[in-house]
Amino acid sequence: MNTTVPLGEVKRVLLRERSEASYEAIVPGVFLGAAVVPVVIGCLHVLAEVSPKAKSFLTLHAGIGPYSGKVLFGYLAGLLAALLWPLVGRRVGHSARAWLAVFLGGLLLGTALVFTPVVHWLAELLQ
Amino acid sequence: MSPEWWALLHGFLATLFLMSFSGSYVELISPNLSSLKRLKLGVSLMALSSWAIFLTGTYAYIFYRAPVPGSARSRILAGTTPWVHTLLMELKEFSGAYVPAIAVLAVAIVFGWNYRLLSEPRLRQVLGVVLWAGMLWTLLAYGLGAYITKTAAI
Repeated sequence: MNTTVPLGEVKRVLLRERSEASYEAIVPGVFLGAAVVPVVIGCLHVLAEVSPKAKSFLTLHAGIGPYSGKVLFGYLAGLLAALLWPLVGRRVGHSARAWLAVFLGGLLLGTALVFTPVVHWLAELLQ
Repeated sequence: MSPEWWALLHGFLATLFLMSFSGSYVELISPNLSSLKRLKLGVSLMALSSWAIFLTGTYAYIFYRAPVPGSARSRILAGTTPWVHTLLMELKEFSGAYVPAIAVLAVAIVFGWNYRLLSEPRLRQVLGVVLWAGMLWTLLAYGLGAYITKTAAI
């Protein structure tokens, strides 16, 4: 039986597969970005506690204080990590569970770094 | 719009987020092509509402921490329970700020892994944990926010 598939249909399927593969390739970068955001925000929070200069640098908006800089720079760092990972980490394996561990580790660390008793303890250590 | 209305909108959006979490999570139980479509809608709604919560909360925070004697922060710090600000508010503001990143991750997973989510239970488990993380961090901010509002509304 001779079956012919229109060339347009083949092109459409190939393009769809290619775009699906490129969507999939961004997932590890977004995992990394989502882990970087809380860690950077947490580190900046501790830094602002230790250094008045850093606190004043992070105060981008007088109304919300240093929170503005911490969150803005945290999200910029996360965005940068997510965008750069597909370029630098192409050869690293894509184990979903390993990426989940990276994300949860970053989230828990970032949360610990904004918990006041931990912040005070770290500030004492650093000063 | 008055600060009270902003705070009310902020809380309402958090409820919308939690509802879209439930809807998304249910679709993971017995996935098929139509549930994948609903899952995409659910996580997109989670991401949109989380950014809206974040923006309205940040705006309401200006009134909360205003350096005037009548602001909620000033009243809490001058009262008998200053730890409500020093311990709870700091944790609330940042745990709430992490949720948009978690929600964006959930969107990337659903749209990136797409049909693989239907055939690979391991990937659905990973997505389930990410959704639960988003829900727990929202609940943390939600609960602390309710307690802080009870102590001193903005």
